Amino acid sequence: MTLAPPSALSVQAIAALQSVAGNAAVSALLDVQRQAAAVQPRTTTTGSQPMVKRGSRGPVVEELQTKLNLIPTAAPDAFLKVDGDFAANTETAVNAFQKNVMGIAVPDGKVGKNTWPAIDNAVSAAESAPHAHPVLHLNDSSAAVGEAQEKLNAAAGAALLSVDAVFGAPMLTAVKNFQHTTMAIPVPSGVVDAATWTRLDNAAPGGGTRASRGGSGIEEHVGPAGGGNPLAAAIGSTHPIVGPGNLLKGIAVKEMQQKLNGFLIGKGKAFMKANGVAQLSADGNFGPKTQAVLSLFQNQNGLAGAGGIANAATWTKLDAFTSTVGTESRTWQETVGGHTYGLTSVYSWALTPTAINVTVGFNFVPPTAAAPMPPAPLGTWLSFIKSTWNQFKAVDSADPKKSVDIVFNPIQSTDPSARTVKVMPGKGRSDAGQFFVVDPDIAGTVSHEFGHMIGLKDEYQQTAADFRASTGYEAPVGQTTGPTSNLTPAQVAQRLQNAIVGRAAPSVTPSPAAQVIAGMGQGAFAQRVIAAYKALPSVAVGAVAHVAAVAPNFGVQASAAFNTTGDLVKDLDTGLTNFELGSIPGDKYQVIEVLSYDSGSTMGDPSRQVDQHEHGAEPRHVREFSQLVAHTRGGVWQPRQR
Amino acid sequence: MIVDYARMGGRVPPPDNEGLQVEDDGSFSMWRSIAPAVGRFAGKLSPAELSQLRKEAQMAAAAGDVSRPPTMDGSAERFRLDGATATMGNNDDVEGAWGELIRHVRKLLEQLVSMPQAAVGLEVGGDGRSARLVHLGNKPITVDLSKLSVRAVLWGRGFQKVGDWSTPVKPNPAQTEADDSWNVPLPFDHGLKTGKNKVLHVYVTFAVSENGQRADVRAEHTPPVPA
Repeated sequence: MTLAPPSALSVQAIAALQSVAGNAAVSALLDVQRQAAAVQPRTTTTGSQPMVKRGSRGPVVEELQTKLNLIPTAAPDAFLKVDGDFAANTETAVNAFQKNVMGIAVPDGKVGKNTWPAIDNAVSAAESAPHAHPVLHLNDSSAAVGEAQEKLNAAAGAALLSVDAVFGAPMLTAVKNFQHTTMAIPVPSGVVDAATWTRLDNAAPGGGTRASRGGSGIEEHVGPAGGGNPLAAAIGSTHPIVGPGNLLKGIAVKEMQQKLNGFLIGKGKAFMKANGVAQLSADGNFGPKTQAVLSLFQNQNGLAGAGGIANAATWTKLDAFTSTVGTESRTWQETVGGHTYGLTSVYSWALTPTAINVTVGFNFVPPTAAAPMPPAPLGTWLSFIKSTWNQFKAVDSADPKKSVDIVFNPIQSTDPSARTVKVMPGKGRSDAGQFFVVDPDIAGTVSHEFGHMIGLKDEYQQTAADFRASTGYEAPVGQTTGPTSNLTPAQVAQRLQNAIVGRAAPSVTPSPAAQVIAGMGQGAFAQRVIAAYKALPSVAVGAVAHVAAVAPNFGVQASAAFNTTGDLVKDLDTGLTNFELGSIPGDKYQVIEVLSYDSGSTMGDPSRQVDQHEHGAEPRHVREFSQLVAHTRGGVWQPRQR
Repeated sequence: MIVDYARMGGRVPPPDNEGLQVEDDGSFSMWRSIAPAVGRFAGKLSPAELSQLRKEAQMAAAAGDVSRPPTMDGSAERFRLDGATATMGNNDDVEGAWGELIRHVRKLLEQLVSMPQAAVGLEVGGDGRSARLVHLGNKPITVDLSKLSVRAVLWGRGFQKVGDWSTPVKPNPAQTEADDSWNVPLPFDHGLKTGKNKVLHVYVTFAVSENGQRADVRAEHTPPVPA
């Protein structure tokens, strides 16, 4: 197994450099690169923060709350809920910080030009406080092993190791490779000693818990800020079909016209004259002139078979040209807790000199076709989206002074492309298809659902690989110990398979699956169970006939036969289709939750206590829009906090 | 069995985790996780209620199975009858015979919390300045307050949230057996100014266990909010 070098240097370049300058020189160079990366601010906000006080709301308050949670002296006996609401608890914590840390006798509870720097300094001090690491050897098993695995993965830029907190043969190889490549040790020991920890900390900051620094037991992320790709992969083209029998008007037509103009300009005036066409007015109307240029474009590009309709193949060719407007129609699927969901996200965008404006339509409808529309704070709901998502800009990497704001504009619309949402009277728990007028969590839910509407995946009940891919962070170490029954990972895996196979048996209290995982939490031990399950032979799970409930048990729901796949979460989702695993109906959900990961972002689990670097919506979530800017303006543009 | 209902899942914790079974003789067993009172409820439906439910169940069963995918981020519902099953997203509207039954069962889920067996209720003082958890029913229930949190939300005109207060998560005595006169006063210094055209809602999150099986729950005090 070979550690991947930083992306800035190719394997070939490193090999060539090694042959000339030797391992030590290469190692030193790589270290310089890694340290440069390490000193990049990991928080997603930059610049001077505005003054906030009681009553303030928004992402800046979230930033304040997460930072205060990192400073034990700020909130000596409490952990602030990171909700962006500067209420009494936050004010108490600010007062405590000003009094205890800043030495202000009569604190004012306001965070302005003096308190912000003091808080930032206190956070830096907390983060740079000595973080004691034990020496790790082959066959060790501890949270520190898990932390080292996170850092080895992050340093390599690849998921070399499962973060299972077990120092086995794969980790030994990874440690030796790290020591050889990064530390220029000719004969590496494979022992994670103090020097190796120092290099790992430089290469991949973060990790461990605040408990080790006097704070709460929330883990710090390991992994580059701004990494990860939370955008769902599109199934098929992201462009709607334009032309006769399809779209004939609107932004997608305008986008196509602009791109056709790019084609014509590239060909030159003589070409246009010879073919009897001229540049289009780009008015969004598909008329005879547009038809003629589209047909010409298709003939020139081997697409004559498209028959004058801008289909997926035509759009692929058109996308070589630029436009200042566009429509994105993204059909995608995701897996949450082993279950697959599908969605189509539709939005339009327009680039001006100062902003890329993204418009998304909501079609609010009554609960039923026959019911009247209930009174509802529709405007307030849309404002939640703006306060969560309108905090980013796209920055030109070549000239960071150049930027355009990324502005989301949710609107009410009856256009077929708009997302239909039922407006529900009374209290309830909102989701993608219905918003309740009395839902205390509506602000978070609306913002989360808007994330789906711009193509973002969920970040809860994720596999380790999906969590890493979406967030850019390594899977956290989490709980390293097993269930209260003291079963080994292999025993837990076997018993969960038994629970799936034996699903036809009348349910007991508590359910077999719930009994097996009692006392387990998300993290390293659960990953060992998942690995052990993968190693089990596939078994046939018989069809289940309906079994009537006999109090106090709930009986069994009819279900089709299948073969286990080795994917534990998927098999639990497929196999335990009955809702009634025990006397409490829903513990299938809880079993899967233990075996997966959640991020603390807007797209993740809103109840999770978040790492200080998580800010609800994050720049990685809006990278798509900085790339749209880059496509039109040229160069490399990155998403940043405004 | 006349009807066996379950609702589970959802993105916002704690998950929906509700169940109701009504037997042929009208006896029922219900579990509630997000409700004014949480835990186990049991008793017997009135003859009139039972007769109506049985009629609706027979008509729905004759209509055959219904299967709709749950909504993304939402919870799923399942209604099982003798001979037919319906699965759908939480609060999906269904026409025809199933519709009558589904609306009836959802209504029962709200009504039957008045018949606790081993449950925990949330009581909020009339002046909105005090709140406590109380044991309900004639059987004990295991209560875990180690991750207790209390939230008060003030709703104003036009369903606008005009105040939102919550306690930090504080360690509390872990597990206790709630029985008879068990009650726990809650931290409740929310400072929200209640008054005309404002309605206070309270949400208390903790965990309970039944026969060793644990469930995260949310007891709610949610009087109607006028438009």
